[in-house]
Amino acid sequence: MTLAMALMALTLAAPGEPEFTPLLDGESLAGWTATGDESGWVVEDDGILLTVGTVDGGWLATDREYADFVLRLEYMLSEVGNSGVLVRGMAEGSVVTEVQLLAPWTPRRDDLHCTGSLYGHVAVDPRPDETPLVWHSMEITAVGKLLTVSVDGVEVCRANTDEVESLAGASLSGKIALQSSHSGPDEWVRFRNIRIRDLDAEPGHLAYQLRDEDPAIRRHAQEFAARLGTAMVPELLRLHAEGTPLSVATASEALAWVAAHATKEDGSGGALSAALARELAADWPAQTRKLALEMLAIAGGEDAIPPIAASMPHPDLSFSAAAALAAIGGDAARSALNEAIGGDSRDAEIAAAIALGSMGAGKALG
Amino acid sequence: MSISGARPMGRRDFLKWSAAGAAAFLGAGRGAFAQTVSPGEKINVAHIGLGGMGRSHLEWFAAMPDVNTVALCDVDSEHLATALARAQEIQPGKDIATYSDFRHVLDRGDVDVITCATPDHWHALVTIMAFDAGKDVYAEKPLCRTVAESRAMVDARQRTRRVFQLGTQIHAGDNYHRAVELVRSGVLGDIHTVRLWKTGGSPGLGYPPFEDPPPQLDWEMWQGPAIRRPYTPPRCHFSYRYFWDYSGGVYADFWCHIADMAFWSLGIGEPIRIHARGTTPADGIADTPAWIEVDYEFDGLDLHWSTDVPDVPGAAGKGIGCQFEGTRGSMVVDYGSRVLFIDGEEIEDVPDVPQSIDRSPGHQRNFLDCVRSRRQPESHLDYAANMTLPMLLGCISFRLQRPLEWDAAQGSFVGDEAANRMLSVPYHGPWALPEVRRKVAVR
Repeated sequence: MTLAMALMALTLAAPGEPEFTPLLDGESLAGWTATGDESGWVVEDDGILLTVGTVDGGWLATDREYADFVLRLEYMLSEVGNSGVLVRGMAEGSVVTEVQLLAPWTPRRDDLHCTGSLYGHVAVDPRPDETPLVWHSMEITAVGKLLTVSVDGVEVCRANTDEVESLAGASLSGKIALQSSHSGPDEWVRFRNIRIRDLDAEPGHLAYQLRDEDPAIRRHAQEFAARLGTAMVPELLRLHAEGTPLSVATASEALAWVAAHATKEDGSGGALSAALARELAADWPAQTRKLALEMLAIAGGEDAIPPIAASMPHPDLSFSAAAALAAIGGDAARSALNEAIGGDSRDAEIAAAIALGSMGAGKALG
Repeated sequence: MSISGARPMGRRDFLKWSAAGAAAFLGAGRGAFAQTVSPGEKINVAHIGLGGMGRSHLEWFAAMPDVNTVALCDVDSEHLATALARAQEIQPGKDIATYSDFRHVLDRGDVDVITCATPDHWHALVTIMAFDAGKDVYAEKPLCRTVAESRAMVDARQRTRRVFQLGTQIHAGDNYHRAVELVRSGVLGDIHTVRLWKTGGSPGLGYPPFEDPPPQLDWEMWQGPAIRRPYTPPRCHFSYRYFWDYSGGVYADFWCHIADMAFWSLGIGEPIRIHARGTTPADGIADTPAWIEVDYEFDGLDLHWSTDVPDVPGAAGKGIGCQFEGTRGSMVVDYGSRVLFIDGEEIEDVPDVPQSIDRSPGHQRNFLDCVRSRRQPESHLDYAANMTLPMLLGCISFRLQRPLEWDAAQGSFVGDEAANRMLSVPYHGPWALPEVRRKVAVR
């Protein structure tokens, strides 16, 4: 699936915008911080955000960072208004990716510096409607190295940061920020309905990025997968089950990081253990179930013992299952291991004997 | 591979290892041997693992006038053939047996010493089984792969009273000995900070296809106690070190050589806090650090490991090094050089500090002398285990991406079950690490 198709799928899949979260609470600047004078930003009675031309409010930036997202907002410019939306901003490196907002100026601004342009980097085509004093809608999508801008429902600008020389080294994540109007004392810009779909909070999106050709994108997705945590388990196993060297390596590493993060919060035996135990009972190939068993050795709790024990007879899984039981420890694990001794599977017997030996409760083989 | 010749078993008791079944390897302790090599006798040496380092072992030991190279062992028949050809050049006309299964080497009563240059994940078991078979061991660094292995090795050596030398051959040089003398003399004052570094991290290794192992390689035996993986060439032969399954990357590979300097000089105990940061290569199957920084807090000492050269006097341009920072000065040491900064002066030595440490006759010679005398060599096992522990704990901190607190008395991490589970990695059968009977358990 090409990226263009994926993006189209994103836009078409969201009727009524259930995946979007408002970024303004309608009453305050909570979640945002001004780099300049905060009094330059005013929340009006109807929840509209106004920049005051007489005060340099600098940039109003989100407190948190975003990497892949769909940002939607509406804006209205005064007759000579000048503002912008910064994306992936205030991060390491000096590349500034700002989407320009501009009312018609004299002299007329070129397509590289008008509304909808990636200011100074990528020109618009077609040029959007720049009528002041009316509300316009804008959508900015950032997915990996691809940035696209739409105004009033029409795509006007797109850029692959790898293909635009001036965008080389642009950060893959950063803050979203609004520029305070700096045209003059009577000029202003108003914003409303600022909402965002944080794609990195969606397992399906991360799963897509984990399959990207670009190792930087994959790495980024692995980092977000680790933070998303347990919700990523099915997607990571699905990736692993594809069985190619790339998918196996990418998924294994991501799942190890998920386990690292999860065990920091929950210790062992928490939500990750439950998720892995569930998947262990599902129809994954043996090598993928083995990965689940490896993670259960670190993160598993007693709840995972039954599906782990059920894996023991499989010749490819005996040792990993026994190891997980030994790691979890306790009476229930010992019982499960003891049951394997004298059972039908010779592989399970040997694995169980070794595991019990490592737990300090050696049992002679019959 | 051929097992050549029937050797007389007169001097040693004979041990039989069964070829299958896990119980055989649970190491119930086969008793210590009061083994000594008589002064007039040569020491019979066998080499297990004949890649690059193994062939160095062959050269070093065969050059000793009192050594007989009697056996070579490798799971790769081409490595074995190459080594045999070289051994026959060095010892023309001598009978040198070749094996693919190291247990047959250990079965031989006439073998006094084995050297181990297998990949890291085999170090512990080859060493312990060699001890149990009455052999002394010269083994490559890193000592082992897990804390549980380290304890089992220490326990086995104490039980069998064998002689062990870790292959940190830089240790034997005059530079290291002198640097230790200088630190211990107090010319640098009280040492409060140590910085260790080695530049370079794991390459990604790309995503090569899974393959059938080549016919000359016994991939099953090569993996041994490690988790079973589909074969792909970078997992084996040298680049195995970039996989947690077998090793610990450049960090584990070089830690022992340079941390040796600090641990020998200062007699450092076990760490209290360990905080590793870093990342893995993004562009390949290797999963060990592309870069790693570890901050250690010991009682009265801060110790740092880095993949970058620290910005301290004397460090610039050195790809590996150890810096001591004390109340009266600092010193940077690498394998072959040292530079001290005391009272604004940059010097290489303080002649007033007398020689107080006997110099080594050479790392392998030191080991062989101890095989005869039954004394402990310079890089003996207890020392090696103490020196290696912080690196093993650093690997766990890195993999869990968080700082950890270590309780030396308990032998475990404080409040981190996942970290404690990583102290021991279960073996794939039929291999098993022997149980350690001691007051403090791993789990």
